[in-house]
Amino acid sequence: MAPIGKGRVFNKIREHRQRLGLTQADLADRVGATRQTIIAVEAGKYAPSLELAFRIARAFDAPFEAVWTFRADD
Amino acid sequence: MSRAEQYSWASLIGLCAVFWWFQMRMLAGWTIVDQQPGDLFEIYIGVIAASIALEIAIASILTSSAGGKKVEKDERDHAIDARASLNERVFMIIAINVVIWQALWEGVFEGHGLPKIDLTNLSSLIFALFAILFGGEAVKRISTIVLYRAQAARG
Repeated sequence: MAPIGKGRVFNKIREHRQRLGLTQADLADRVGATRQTIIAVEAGKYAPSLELAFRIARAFDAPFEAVWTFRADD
Repeated sequence: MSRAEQYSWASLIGLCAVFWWFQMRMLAGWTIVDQQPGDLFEIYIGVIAASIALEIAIASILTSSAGGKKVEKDERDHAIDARASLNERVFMIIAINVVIWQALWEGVFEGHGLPKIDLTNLSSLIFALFAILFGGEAVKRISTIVLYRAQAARG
C-alpha cells in the first residue's frame, strides 16, 4: 500500500450551518466552543481537535465525512 | 476579539505599567541604583502587590462587562496558551543562560567590552531576576496576542 502523504483538511461547516439556519454563535453554543473558534475553524485557520470535529458533525446531524474532507497534496 | 484576547491585551498593558514603575525605582538612566536591602524589599512587595491587584482588576472588569460570566476559554484558547507558555519557557532558558554566560565570561575575559551585570551586588541581582521574570511574562502575553491575530488575519 502506498504511503499517504501530507494534505489539507477542508470543511463544509458554512453550508451545513446555512442549511439548518444556524449562526456561528448558535453552533458555538451547541458544540461548547467560542464563536471566534467557530469562525477560525470555518475559515480553515484553526484545525480543531478530533473531538470538536466530531461534535460539529454531530451538531449538524451529519456523517463525519459530510462535514470534513481530506485532500492529499499532489 | 475574544475575551481571552482582550484579557491578554489588558494584562500586557498592566505588565508594562508595573515594569515602568519598577524601573523608575531601580534605574537612573541605564545604571542600576545601589539600594539598601530594606528598600529593595519594599520594591519587591510593591511589584508583587501591584501585579496581583492589576490582574484582579482586569479579570473583574472583563467579567462585569460580560454580564457576570467568567472569561470563557475553549480548546483553541488552551492551545494558544500552551504555545505561548512554551515561548515563555524558551525565553527564560535563553535569558538565564545569557546571565550564566556573562558571569562566566566575566571571570575568563575580564577586559571584554560587553555589557556587564555585577551579580555580587544585591540591587543588580534583584533587577536582573525581575527583568527576566517581566521579560518572560511579556513574551507570553505578546505570543498570545500574535497567535490570536494570526488566526484572525490569515487565510
